[in-house]
Amino acid sequence: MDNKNLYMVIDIDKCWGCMACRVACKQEHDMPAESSGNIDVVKIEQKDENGRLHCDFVPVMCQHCSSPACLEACPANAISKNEEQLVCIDQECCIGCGSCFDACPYGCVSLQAAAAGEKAQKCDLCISRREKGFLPSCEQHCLGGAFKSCHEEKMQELIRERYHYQTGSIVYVSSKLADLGKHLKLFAAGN
Amino acid sequence: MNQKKIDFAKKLIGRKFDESCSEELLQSILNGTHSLKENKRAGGCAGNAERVLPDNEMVIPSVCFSCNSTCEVLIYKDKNTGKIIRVEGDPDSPQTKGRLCSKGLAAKELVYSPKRLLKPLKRVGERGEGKWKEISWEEALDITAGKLIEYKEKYGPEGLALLEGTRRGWSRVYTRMVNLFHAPNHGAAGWAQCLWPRLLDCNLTYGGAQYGETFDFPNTHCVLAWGVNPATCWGVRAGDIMDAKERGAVLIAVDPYFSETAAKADIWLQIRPDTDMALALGFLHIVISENLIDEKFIREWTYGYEEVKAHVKEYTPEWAAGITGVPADKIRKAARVYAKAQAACVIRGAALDEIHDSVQVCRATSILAAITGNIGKKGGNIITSSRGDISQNSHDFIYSAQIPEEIKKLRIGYDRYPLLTQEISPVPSAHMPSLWETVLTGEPYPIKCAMIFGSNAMVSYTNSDKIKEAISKLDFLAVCDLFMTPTGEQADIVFPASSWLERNNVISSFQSSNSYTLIEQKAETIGESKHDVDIIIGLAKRLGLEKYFWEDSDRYYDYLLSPTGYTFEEAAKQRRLFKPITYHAYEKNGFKTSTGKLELYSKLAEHYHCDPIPTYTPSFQSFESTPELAEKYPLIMTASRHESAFRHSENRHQPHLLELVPKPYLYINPDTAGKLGIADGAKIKIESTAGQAYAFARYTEGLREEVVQGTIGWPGEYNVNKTVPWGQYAQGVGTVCCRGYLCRVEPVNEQVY
Repeated sequence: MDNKNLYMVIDIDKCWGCMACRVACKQEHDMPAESSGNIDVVKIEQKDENGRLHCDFVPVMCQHCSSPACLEACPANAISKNEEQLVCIDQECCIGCGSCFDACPYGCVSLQAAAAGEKAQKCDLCISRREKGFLPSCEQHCLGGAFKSCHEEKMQELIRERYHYQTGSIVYVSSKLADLGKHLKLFAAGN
Repeated sequence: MNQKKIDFAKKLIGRKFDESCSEELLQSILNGTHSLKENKRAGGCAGNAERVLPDNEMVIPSVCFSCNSTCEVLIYKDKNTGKIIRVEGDPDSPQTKGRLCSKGLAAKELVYSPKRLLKPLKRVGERGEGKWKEISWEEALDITAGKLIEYKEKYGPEGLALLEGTRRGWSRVYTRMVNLFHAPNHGAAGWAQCLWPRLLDCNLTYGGAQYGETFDFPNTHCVLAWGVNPATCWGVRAGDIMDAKERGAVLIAVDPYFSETAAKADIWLQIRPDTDMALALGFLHIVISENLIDEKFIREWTYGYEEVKAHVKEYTPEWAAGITGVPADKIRKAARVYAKAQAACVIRGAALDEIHDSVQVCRATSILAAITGNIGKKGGNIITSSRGDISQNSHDFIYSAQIPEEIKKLRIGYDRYPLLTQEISPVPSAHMPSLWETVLTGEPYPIKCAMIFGSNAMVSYTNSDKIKEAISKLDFLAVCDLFMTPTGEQADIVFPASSWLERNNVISSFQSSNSYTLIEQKAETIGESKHDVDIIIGLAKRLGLEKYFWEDSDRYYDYLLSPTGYTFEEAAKQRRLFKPITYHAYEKNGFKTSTGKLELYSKLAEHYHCDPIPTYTPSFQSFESTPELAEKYPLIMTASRHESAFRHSENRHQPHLLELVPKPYLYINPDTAGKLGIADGAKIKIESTAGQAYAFARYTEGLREEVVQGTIGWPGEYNVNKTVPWGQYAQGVGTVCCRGYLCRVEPVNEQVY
């Protein structure tokens, strides 16, 4: 295993749903307010089998998939994996065709406007911030401390004895969500 | 939001929940085996590699004043253009460790909004017509001070209404000017509605200006969040609470709504709005009847325990369950967890301040903290007063004694609401609903001249239609704000105020850091906008009060810091001044009550003809107290939701925030909405005995069927404050009950947009 792999562990139990990550991200990447942005927080209210109500907030961002559909779909070969195993879009090569936007199963490619020719953007776990010694902006600002960027060993420590799910570099964890990722695994397996 | 994201999130989390971790924690507290663990994330952000700035950037360390959390920030500026590039949390801040909420992160838009007021304005058309002439500061201040003097001479000092908004560091300087000008009718929309009931509780219970509002979350085993949702409106505490949970503390939340905080709680007590007193008395009954008390603390440091014990005997959990709607066993469990935790900390919010028995219900929660031995204890509620710098919150600072007695007695509400209007009040001030009625009717005397700093009164006051009508009766109105608000539109003179990024400030507040005085530094100048302190100083000079003020705001900060030995400039280099919290401070200083003890039975409350021990009374409007009204208005409104993107009526000018919550919502249970033919997202009309307002329905399972929740701060027809009734007010303090009155809602047959 390449020890340069970067992970972002997202602890769903700690997300307050406050949206600081969304504003932090748009500011960092200079995205206008009307942009769909690189990160969203989905609120899910549901009752369990005992009738008890739950409300969870799920930060949704590029999963940096192990087998990225966006990379496959890009006709300009603008999308590649870097040495951290993060999926990156080369802005020079992007032709703004929107194929990656359509291909991404998670809706995590952002086209600033629907107008053709607009280049695709997505999360790169704040490469430029990390180069300058800063944490990814979502991680730094999160009021719940739900994000933790780390390498393999720390990631393993953070998911130990907890429910977890990962398709790539993003690792969701929870102590409460007993089904975490189960339905996605079934989905990925073609069910 | 993109449907793919929603589908992914739903599939990701699934439908099965494992509550064993939470239940184990609760059990360990109940059986006495609970312990805290190390917070693996503590200092996480600070442990970074050395940070470097790009060549073209410079950074100004400051403090965000989007709300009273006052989180430390770094303001990044372009060296070449001098413009602010972005605002971020400060990773080196001992309090926030780099966190910052959406409001702070979007603050650049507050500075560069094209809608900012840049110059003083004078009305040239009809009132409200929107025709203005730009004038100089000299002229604006001369006209305003001239009017204040003219109307004082004509109608007496009581004929002026000198109002302000939420505290932003200049508030007590304004009060100082008002008091030195001998004007008794001073006040703000929020004083009897937010924080002061908590402070008055502290004044009555602990005595003097000693507040139990410092939360020792790093050492607590149990957080009791009562009527507070820090995730949306008290960011610094949201961080603290999640850190406490990471260490293994349990969280109990009291809220009629399944708020962000309730959703994270180990125990959620879903009370009916405005029944908090019944719950608190039920807690006291359990704690006392099961002997979960701190006998030594009660014996040595409290007054009136036997009276409280006898008083709460009848308030059984079963009785409380009937009133609050929370099952008795759940109340029992929560009370036992709170009382049995080695240290527990209660954090209260504006929900307790805004109900019909505001001060009294706050008292009940302080009594709970006291008899369980959680006052002043490591991990509990720590009592603090000043932090070493000069406190703006003292009566000396505001010269409250300066107003002659006979004029003080003219203050609107003086006899009826002594806790708000007399010397015990944090700022002795008028009762606002009664004051606006006076402006409207001219009874008992005319009020024709008003000045409002930092408050969008037309939106922020309850029963808002009355405020609009009252403002139209004024001869003269001066308003100071950052933007042209609906209130500013009615003014004769408008002063452009600077935002927090454009001013210095010294912040010493228990609502912020537990142990630091923070230094806010100016990073930009916009138009001719000014710091409120400098505007107030400009007015004070013209009112002949120059000798009580400073040359300018910077000298004022030097003055505040003088006991520390630092000037503002020197303190800014230090960034923050440390003053550790002290546990068990009362052992040295006692309590500042007449008995020298913590007063469970308040002799001072008795002196002011208020209940010495908190007692249950039903809401002013409820199914129980006004059944006839309930037939016409079958829902209970809590007009209370603060969305994370906004503070009060602010922030709608910031596109990155408006995008998060683009509409005024009314949260409603889907079953209730279904019966009324209201679709999710549909426009609806809300009606009450006070008036009507509109909103867009937002379905939530997190409210009981009979309860709806409005969101505050939207202007015009969407202002839910228009539906908040007046007429009955909280004992002693005059709080308007905004969280728990009757209403009805119906769909509006209009194109939904």
